[in-house]
Amino acid sequence: MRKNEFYIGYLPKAPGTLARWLRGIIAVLLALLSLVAVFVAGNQQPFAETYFEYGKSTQLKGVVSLTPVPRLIVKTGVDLKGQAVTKSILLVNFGKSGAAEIFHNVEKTSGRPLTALEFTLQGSLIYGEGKVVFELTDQHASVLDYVPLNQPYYPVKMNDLGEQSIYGEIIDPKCYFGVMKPGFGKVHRSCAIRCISGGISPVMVTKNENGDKQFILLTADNSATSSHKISKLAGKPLTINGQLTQMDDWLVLHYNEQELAKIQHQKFVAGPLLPHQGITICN
Amino acid sequence: MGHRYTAVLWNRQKKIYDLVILLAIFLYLLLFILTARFLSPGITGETMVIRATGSLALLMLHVILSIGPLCRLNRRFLPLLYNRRHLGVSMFVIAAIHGVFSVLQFHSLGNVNPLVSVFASNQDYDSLHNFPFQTLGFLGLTIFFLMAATSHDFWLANLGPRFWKTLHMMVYVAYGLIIMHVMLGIVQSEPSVILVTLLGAGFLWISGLHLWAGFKEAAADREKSLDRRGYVLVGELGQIPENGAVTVVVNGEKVAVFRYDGKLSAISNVCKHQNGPLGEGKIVDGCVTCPWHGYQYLPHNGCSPPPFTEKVATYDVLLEEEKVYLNPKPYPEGTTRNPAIIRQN
Repeated sequence: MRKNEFYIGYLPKAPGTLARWLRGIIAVLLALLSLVAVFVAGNQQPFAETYFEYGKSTQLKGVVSLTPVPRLIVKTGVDLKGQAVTKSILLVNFGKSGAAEIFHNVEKTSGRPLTALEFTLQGSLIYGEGKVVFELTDQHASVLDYVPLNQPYYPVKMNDLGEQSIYGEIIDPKCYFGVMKPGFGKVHRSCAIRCISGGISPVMVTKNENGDKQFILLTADNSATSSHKISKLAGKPLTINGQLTQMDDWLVLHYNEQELAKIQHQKFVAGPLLPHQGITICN
Repeated sequence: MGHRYTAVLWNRQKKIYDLVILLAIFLYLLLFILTARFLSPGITGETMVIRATGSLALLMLHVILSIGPLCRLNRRFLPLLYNRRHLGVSMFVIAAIHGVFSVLQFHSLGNVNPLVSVFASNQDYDSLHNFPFQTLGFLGLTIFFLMAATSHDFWLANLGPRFWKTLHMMVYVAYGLIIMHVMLGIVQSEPSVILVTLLGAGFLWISGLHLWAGFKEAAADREKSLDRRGYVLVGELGQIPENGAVTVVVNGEKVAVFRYDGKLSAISNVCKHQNGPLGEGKIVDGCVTCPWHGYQYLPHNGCSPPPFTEKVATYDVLLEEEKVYLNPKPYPEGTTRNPAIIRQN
């Protein structure tokens, strides 16, 4: 910039040497901006290989049970003894709400227990890390049909694994298994609180020393009240004690109100949100 | 409201400035999306939008906060300041996209109002580790909104320069909130050397620049003592450039002494538009011209040429044996004072 040069913004042109200098500054700024874009975008933690088939409609058939959590039990085959092998697909409603209300209505309308009906449901699949969640995208209209079962309800194997103390993080399965990435940790915490308090069943994710993850459904005597309370603990590392059960392809931890009160008074320590300790259970 | 709204006048320089802003935004988003798609194939569209706009808004905020002190340190940066408000509004729009997407993603379709959810979902306000960081971003965005909404000269005129400036100085509060929002949010969730380094470097750059410019200004702003007549020695005549000025601090106020057409006149250093430093300006077409946005004042009476109505205080100048003196008593804004005449040898 020469001594007598003076920039006035409303004049048509900037002084010559100043304009050249400015072009250089703008080039440096654009180069810096490009570098930051590449560095920031390229240094994100890897995203989970989970999927949400948003906008894609799928129909599933099976038996619906609300115990311990809303789920669709589908028969995937038979074992060597000829007994049914089943898989539980967690059912969730559209948005941040649970699916229980939809099926309470069906139960009232049909006058039969849910497990005496075979349902045809329409919605969007959410899946990853070996688990499947089904979003009833059209809410009540997602229940396309239900008919009385010709054969008795295929029993689900329950295997009592005793009292267990488990260290992990409470997540909402809808987001964790595909709707949001990342669907865990502090950034996702508010969303998990909304989802769980809205009726989506809480799940605890824990890792053993080898880094293998286990997903444990959390249930309580009064699920509605406990869900609201336990939602506030989502996204934090914590230890929870309860009765562990194997239910087809899911683990279920049943905790009581006293345990919940103890958890609420736990001191939450800073550190990695996914734990390095936990349980190892052979399926 | 005492002032009427007039639309922004789009001159060539403003159009160039805004085109560069648009190009920069487009370039950043394009590179972010391409890099993320290539290196993080599992990323969802929503996460991409939230992270791309969040990081871009933070980067733009750093550029905006750098312009002021850079102009104080080197006048060649002044063209960046001319249309800084457009850069600020653009930053708000990008930050608002980040905020709206985040609220929709994390708080909508739930059992409470999304805005209530921002503040009520995570209630660990007593824990730094678990602090609800989204609230900090929300408050920062609210400040940016107030600044963007009042950025037009209509609001500057109606609110008054002092109040308007105070409101817009809130950008530093917003910067602090945003730094904490990022530190307690994404940095805590995804500890990364690159992220922490970039954020730390940005903070050091902004604070370092402000301190540097502040020290430089403080050194130049030392108040001079009065002589027996009650005048202040400004300096040697030769120190004042033709059609330029030197400044002197009297009674805590900065005064600019201009030399032009063989005369010396003194007016307040503070431009009525945005408190710009008139003493760093120049006499153009017989008028003192502010280096920030080109507002003009006649040097002998401190009045803007018609049809403009801005006025600044004037002062008496005395020239004795090549030494320039200033009477520190200000005259009411717009008062005509006879210039000191420079005798040609």
